[in-house]
Amino acid sequence: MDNDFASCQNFSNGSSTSVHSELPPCTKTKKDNNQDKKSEHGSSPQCSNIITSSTTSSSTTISLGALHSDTQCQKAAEHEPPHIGYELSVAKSVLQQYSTLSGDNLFDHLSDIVKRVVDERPPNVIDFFEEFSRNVREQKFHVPERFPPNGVFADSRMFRPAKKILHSIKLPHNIEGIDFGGEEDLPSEEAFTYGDGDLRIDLDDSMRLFVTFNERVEQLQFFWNQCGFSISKDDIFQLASSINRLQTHPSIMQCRFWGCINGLKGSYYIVEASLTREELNSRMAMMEEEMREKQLPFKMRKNQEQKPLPTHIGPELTPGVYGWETYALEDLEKMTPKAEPVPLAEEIEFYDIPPENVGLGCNRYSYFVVNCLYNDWIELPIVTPRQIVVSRQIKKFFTGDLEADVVSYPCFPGKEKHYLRAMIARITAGTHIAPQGYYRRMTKKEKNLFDGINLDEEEEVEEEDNYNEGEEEEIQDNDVMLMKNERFEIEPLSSLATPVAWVHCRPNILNQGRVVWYDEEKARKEREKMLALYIKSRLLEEMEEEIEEEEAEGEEEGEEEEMLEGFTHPETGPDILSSCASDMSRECAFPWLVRFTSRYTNQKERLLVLQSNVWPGAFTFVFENTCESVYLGWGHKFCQRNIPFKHLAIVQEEFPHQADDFIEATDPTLEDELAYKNWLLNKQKRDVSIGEDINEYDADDLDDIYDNDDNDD
Amino acid sequence: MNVEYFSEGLECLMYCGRKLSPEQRILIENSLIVLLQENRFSGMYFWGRITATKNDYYIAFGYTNDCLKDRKYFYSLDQYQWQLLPFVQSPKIFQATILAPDPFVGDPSLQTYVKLDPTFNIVDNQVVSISRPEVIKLKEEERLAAIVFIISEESAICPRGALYKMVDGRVIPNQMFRGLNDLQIDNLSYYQLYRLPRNDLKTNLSKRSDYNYAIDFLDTIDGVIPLGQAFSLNMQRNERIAIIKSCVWLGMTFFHKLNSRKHGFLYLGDGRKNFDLLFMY
Repeated sequence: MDNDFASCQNFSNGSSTSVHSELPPCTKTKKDNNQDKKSEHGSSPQCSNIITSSTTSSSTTISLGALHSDTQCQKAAEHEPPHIGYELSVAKSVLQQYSTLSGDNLFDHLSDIVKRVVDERPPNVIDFFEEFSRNVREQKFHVPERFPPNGVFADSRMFRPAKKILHSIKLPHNIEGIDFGGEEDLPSEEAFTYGDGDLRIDLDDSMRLFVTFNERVEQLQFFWNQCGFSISKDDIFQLASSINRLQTHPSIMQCRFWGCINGLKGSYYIVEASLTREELNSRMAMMEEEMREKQLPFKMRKNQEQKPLPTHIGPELTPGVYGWETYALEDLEKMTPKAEPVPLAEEIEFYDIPPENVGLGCNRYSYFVVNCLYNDWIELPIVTPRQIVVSRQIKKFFTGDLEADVVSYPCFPGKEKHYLRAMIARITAGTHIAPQGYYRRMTKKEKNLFDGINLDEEEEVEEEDNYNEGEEEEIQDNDVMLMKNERFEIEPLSSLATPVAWVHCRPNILNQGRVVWYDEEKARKEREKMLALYIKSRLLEEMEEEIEEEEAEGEEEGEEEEMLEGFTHPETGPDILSSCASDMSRECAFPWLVRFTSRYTNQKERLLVLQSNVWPGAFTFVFENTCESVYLGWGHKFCQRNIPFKHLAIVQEEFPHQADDFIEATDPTLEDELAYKNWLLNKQKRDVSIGEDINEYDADDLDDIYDNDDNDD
Repeated sequence: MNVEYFSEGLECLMYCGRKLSPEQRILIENSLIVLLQENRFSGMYFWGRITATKNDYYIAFGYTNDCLKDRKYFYSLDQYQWQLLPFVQSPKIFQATILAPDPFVGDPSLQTYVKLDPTFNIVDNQVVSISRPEVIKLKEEERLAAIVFIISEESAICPRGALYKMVDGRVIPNQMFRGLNDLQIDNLSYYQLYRLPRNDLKTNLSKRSDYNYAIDFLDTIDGVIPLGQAFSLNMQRNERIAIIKSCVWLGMTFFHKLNSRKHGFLYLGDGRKNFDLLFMY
């Protein structure tokens, strides 16, 4: 403080040559602190001028150099050598020698340190003296007064996120006035559009029955806090408001916070949402079309595409007309060469089990993720069985970038967003649990209502269903949406403190990667049949013959075969609503941990927490009527030691061959080539001499040879 | 994490998804203060929790003179009474701890048998002999002590400058530490491992041009193998808090507030090393 003040003074005076053995009166009025010191030092008049000058010296560096020598001369003149004042000034001059490197001097530094120690009184400063001294030196040039405030100003780190958050909140201006105005207007508008409104309300009502998600994040946060897991307090408000933003989207029926998966560079906040019926239907239509196309046997798809022709006409590819040599070059270029098409790498058909439709099985809910809560939600793609199957064989860190590649073996079909989606599906299937009786299956009536079937058609459809799919009903059963049981009785928590009392409330995913088993064998047969039919029809088109009778016979045979062979046992897994006690895992002996939030003190209001050991980070809590599952973790399944990664396949041989297939020969040397050329020339000469009739022909031949050479180059 | 700013630290560490329930927090904070008083420690830290099937272990440590050398570790099952963890020296115990397949149970006196890996004697790329896997008797208390030691050796972190080596060789928390500034905070070379240095002093000093003998004697985390994969650093809360998570010991989280001396680490996990790390990037 003193220093700065002194420096200010210097600047104001314009010249620092005057030694401030006493401070001018104006300073005393300004600084009490300064004054105090002054008075302290006043007791020892000998030292007073030294200390005051030190305060100036620390700030003015160059001017003082001159000044210092002046004072010394003066003092020398005043006092004889053995004098305390003289000794002091000598010592001071030693201390005040300027460093040639930094331009600093020890005297200033020491006085700065002393001042800082006296001002700030740091504890145990002697222990950290070096560090402290370093600090003082560092900060010497960071005193805010030294720089004009608008000299250099770098953006603060916090600035950008702060700006983004503000931007995401987007307050409507003049909220009160407009809002109230709007409300007042509302009744009249309603009166006009009552008819429409009525319809809409009707639709909404039918779906409202099926809202089972608890989307009130801030309320849940309270419970999570009690349980000892949660996301950060600051984030929860933002999460609530951004979920609210999502919820108001017209195509979303209900949504809930699913959890948070850590990534290396950023974590994903995930929201589970179910879409409205209209949205589902439109998506389903799109998806079905796409699937139908994909279901087509590969060759059928491939045949519809044009195969590329060779791009240029070389000597070995003759254009499609006999005697083409006579045509002009321009015409030749237009001709299609009569050549074998360019051999392309032949794609082998790779058949995937089709994914479940939007709104069914693994794809029943759609998931929205975001890295930072102030960004917009991004919807994850649907999950395919193959992705689920492969994700079981690999273990990767999430990077926090949805478009990042997943580098793994076996190769994961998709980007990180697909991997994330597959992991979400698996975690959801494994860890969403509820006390027994908390959820119930839908009744038939509700089911129909949910599926959007009108009441009139209902009975017929039901009957048809019964007749047609009577056998499959057992399998279908797993893929249902559960309803909250209205008659759920609140049980004492102590009776729930065992996995026996808990059931899974999301359908199990089969090894196949689907919730509902898909008969691969049958599908394969069907595709073969389709392909056979297709090829036959192509043949028919080309040959236009009538072998229809035979065909019919063939088909019948095929069907019979299918009946015999195609019977495979559907894969089964644990049912939905099966008990958690029967969870089995080779790796994990104790799949569930049961904990009370309060063991000793708060018996009345304690919560029960079940945490999954198979998916570390998955928690479910229950308190009276509230039961929620959430996942906060890395997205890795538990493994005892390390996961058995698949070995790389053995390197394939490039070309299966015998020893005799290739005979090595030495390349011709330059001499050999020259000799060959000479031989050719000689031969030509000889031909010319033999007869002139064949001359033209030979010339053509030679041309061809040269052409060939050119092309090879 | 220092008991001085216990609940504030817990708030900052919540980015790992887990924290303590209110009852645990109150019990631990206060019982640790009592423990500090009883043992005349000059610093008391909450280390974390190791999940067990029956009862979770809560771990804390304190020191009197030297915050690296004479740390004393305590464990507690009820968050109320703290017992001293034994000091494990036998390398066999450490080996068995790393390999033990079963989760912790929550009974310190429990004895388990762990089969070690067979050892291979290899000469010139040829396996000469294989020894039978050794079976080690492992007491859970010892296993706990060993795992706590290993985890804190491998993944406990402090920011550069937080620890200060005195002239007599003692290491104490730096009272002058004012936190990393915004140029340093997202740089892994400004974080050090909270353990006695294993690298040579010269190696550590020569890593930076502005070295300081009293501060840079510790190993920095940017040199931890696998390079660049052992830790992941995130900036949270308007980029004001640096969160470093260990990828080797999932569950170890570290926080440091920008321009503040507050920092700390906490382990909440099941005490399992992530052996798959190299395949997971």
